[in-house]
Amino acid sequence: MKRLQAKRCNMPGGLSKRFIFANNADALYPLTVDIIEHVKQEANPHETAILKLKMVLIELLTNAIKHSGNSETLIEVSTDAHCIKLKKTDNGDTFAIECDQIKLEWPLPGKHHAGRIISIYGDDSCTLKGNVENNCQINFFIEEHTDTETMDNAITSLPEHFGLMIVTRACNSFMYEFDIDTCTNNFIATINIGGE
Amino acid sequence: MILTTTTNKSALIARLEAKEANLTVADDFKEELVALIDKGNRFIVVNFENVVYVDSSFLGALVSSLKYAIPNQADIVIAGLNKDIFALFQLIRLDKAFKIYTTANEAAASKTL
Repeated sequence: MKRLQAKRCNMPGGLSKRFIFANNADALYPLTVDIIEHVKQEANPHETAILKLKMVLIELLTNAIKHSGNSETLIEVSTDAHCIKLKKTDNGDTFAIECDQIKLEWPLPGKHHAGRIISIYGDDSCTLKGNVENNCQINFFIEEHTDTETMDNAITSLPEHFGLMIVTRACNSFMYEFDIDTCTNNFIATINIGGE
Repeated sequence: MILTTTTNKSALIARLEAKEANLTVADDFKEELVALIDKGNRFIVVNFENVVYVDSSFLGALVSSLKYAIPNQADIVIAGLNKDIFALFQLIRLDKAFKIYTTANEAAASKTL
């Protein structure tokens, strides 16, 4: 099995700008375009990075409409010479995750120690998983099951939820963090400026 | 209506009228596509030429419709994707699940080959 492990990207001194999303579908694409234009001006990323940024923004904002539960979501955008970093913050429902068919609460229970792997969803070809960093953070990654190029017999096993899968595949790192002090949810995604 | 339909030879071309194929239209899209299958259409080309972007909710509805089509001896193929949407299909490997054509006419012609 092939495992795509996320890499972290540190951004000391990176530029940062905050955008407010009204959790309204009509505002989704205009905000996506605004943020892309901001990133282009600040960091001049490779066109592949821009494509990935667009995919990630659309999914983070869709996730906000579906799950944030409040009237506004904060999108913080940072850039430096190497990375684009997106941080989505809201105080809606915590990230829903099940382990052994039990819905987990945040902070995660004591047995969910660093290094524990949680399966989130998948199909015959891959599984989206979370690597527990600590009881308030998981890092998403994708575990590939096969190298097959065909899905002729696998259509019935295809998932019908793609949001986190899209973001995880498009990003160089993607994590969920529950801020225990403010009881807010943070999804943090980084994309390499070069698009690789 | 999310879809407007025309026939081309033995294919039914279902053109998406929404520019933003997102969670606000996903359920209606699936409902209309399933209804077209229920009416006996066996080769449906979903034409995305009007669509600017697609979100995961819409992709979920598309996959769910394909799962409905298969046991009903129907096929759903895709046409008219812009390069960003095509890249999204590739990213999550939906290009392996759906036949994808450049244009709706090309897709319709494939049915007669």
